[in-house]
Amino acid sequence: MMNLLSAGFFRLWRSKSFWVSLAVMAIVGAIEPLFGYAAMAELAANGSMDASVSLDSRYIIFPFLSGILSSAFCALFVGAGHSDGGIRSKLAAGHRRAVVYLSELILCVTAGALLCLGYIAAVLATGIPLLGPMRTPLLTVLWYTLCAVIMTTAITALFTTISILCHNKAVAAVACIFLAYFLLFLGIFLNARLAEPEFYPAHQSIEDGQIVTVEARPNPGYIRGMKRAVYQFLFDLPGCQAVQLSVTMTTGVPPRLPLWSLASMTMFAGLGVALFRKKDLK
Amino acid sequence: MEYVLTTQSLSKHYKDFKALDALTMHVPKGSIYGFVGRNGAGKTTLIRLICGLQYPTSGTYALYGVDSAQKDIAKVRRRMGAVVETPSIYLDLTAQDNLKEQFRVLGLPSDDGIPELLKLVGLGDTGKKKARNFSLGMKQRLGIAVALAGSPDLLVLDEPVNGLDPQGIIEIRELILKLNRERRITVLISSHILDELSKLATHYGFIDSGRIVKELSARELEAACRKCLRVEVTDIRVLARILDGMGIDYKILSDGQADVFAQLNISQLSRALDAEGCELLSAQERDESLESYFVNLVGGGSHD
Repeated sequence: MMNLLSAGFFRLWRSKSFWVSLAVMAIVGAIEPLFGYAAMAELAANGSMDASVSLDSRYIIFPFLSGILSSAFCALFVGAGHSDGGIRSKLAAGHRRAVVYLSELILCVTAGALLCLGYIAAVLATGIPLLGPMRTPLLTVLWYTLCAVIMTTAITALFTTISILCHNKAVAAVACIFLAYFLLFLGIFLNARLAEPEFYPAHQSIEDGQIVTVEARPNPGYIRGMKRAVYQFLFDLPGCQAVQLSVTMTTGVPPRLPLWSLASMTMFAGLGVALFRKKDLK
Repeated sequence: MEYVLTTQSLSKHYKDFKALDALTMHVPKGSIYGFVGRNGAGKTTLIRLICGLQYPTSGTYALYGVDSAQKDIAKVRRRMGAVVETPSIYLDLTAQDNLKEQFRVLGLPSDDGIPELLKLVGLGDTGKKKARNFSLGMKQRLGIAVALAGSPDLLVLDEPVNGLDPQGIIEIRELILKLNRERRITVLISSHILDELSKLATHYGFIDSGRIVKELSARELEAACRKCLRVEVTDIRVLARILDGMGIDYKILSDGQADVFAQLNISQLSRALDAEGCELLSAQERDESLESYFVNLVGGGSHD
C-alpha cells in the first residue's frame, strides 16, 4: 500500500488536472470576497442602514464547488490510470486489487480535501481584510468546515468508485460531472420541498375596509409520512448534503450529517473493492 | 526442460464466446517464445490472464512453478514485466518520471537505475519531453523500460512492433535480442507479423481459436520449413538405400514418399532407382516459410 501511495502522490503532484482544480478553487475563493466587498460598497453608496456583508456567506460556498471539481478530477486522474495503463501496470507488478483500489481512493480523497483547503485559504486571505472576521463563532465554523470536508471526501469516494469501474475516461468524466450536478440540484429541490411549512399561519387582512381574519390552514404541499422520511434520507446523503450544510452553518451542522458521510464513504469503498476485484480489465 | 510459464487447459469465456479454449502451453526458461496467431485467436486474452488483469473461467497457469490458484502468484508476478497491448506509460509525465513512478510502485529503494534503463532502451536524451510527444516507437520502448523496472526474469510483450516504422521495428528487435542474450530474460512475444517473429523467436506456440495447435522450437520449425525435394517412388526402401549410399540427408514420410534435403540430379537419381527396379513417380521442390507453415497449420479460413 505504501509503495502505491508513494507512487500515487508522486503522480498527483505532477497532475495537471489536480493543479487546475486547485487553482479554480483558490481563484473562486479569492474572488468571492471581492464580490461581497463590491456589494457592501454599493449598499453604503445607497445609504443603506446595514451596509455590511458578512464573510460567512462567502465561506459556505466551497462544498458546492469542491463536489463538482472533485467529480472532474477523479474521472481524469483515475481515468488516466486506466487509459495510460497505470492500473494495469500495478496489477502486473503483483499488487492486489483491493490495495490498488484503496490507494486510488486515498489519493482522490486527499485531493478532494486539498481542494477544500485551497478555497478556505484563499477566501480567508482576501475575505478577512476586505469584509472582516466571520460573525459565526469560531467553533461553529470549524465544525462546519470539518463536516463539509468530510462530505467532500465522501462524494469523492463515490466518484472514485465510478471512475475505477469504468474503463472509458470520457464516459467516467461525463457520468461523474452529471452526477455531481444532479445531486446538487436534487439537494436544492429537496431543501425547497422539506422547508415547506406544515401550516399556513393565521393572519388578518383588510378587504373593502373590513378586517378579515384568515384561520391557519394546512399546507397541501407539505410532505408527510414515508415520503418525508425518504426525502430527508436523500437530503442527508453526500452531494445533496451540501445545501443542508450551507443552511445550517450558522446554527450548527447536525452531527448526523458527517456520520452519514462517513457511512456512505465506507459503503462506496466496500462496494468499489467488491466490484473491482471481480472486474475483467483490459 | 525448465519452464517459466505453463498453462493447463486454460479457458476464458465471455458469455458464449470462447476466447481461450483449454489452452496448454509451455514457455521454456531463457527462450524467446513467439506466440503466433491471427487477430482474435486469444493471444492478448492469455497475456491478460497471466498478468492478473482477468481471471480464467477454468484451468490454471503456473509462473515459475507457482500455480495461479495459490496466493503467492501475486508475489511471483513481480518477477515478470509486461507490455499489454499499449505501453503502460503516463502520457503527461516525462520518460524519467514514468520510471520514477514505476520504481515507487515496485518499492525500489533508489532511483539510481533509471538513467541506465533509459539508456538501454535508447531514451537517455529525452530530457523534459512528455511521453505524449514521443513517437510510437519511443512510447513502445518506454513501455518496455517500465516493464523492465523491476529487473524481471520474464518479459511479456503483446504485439510490440504493431504500427511501428521499419526503423522502429529494428530497434525493438535489437532491444529484445539484447535483453535475452545479455540479461538472460525470457521473452514471451505475441505477434501476427510472422516474418519479424522469425528473426527473434527460439520457440513458437501457434494458437488458433483459443487453442495451441502446435508448439515447437525454432530448430524444429527450421527443419519443417527446410528447402527439400519431395519425391514419390514405388519402393521407399530402394530410395533409402540409394540416398544412404550418396550420403544425402532425407526424411521418410510414408511407404512411397520422402523429403530429400539436397540439390539432386534428378536424372542420376532416376537411373539409380531404375537400376534397382524402383520407379520415380514424382519430384516436387518444397520451400516452406513460417507464413506458409502457419497457414498450413491453422488453415486459411477467414478472420473472426
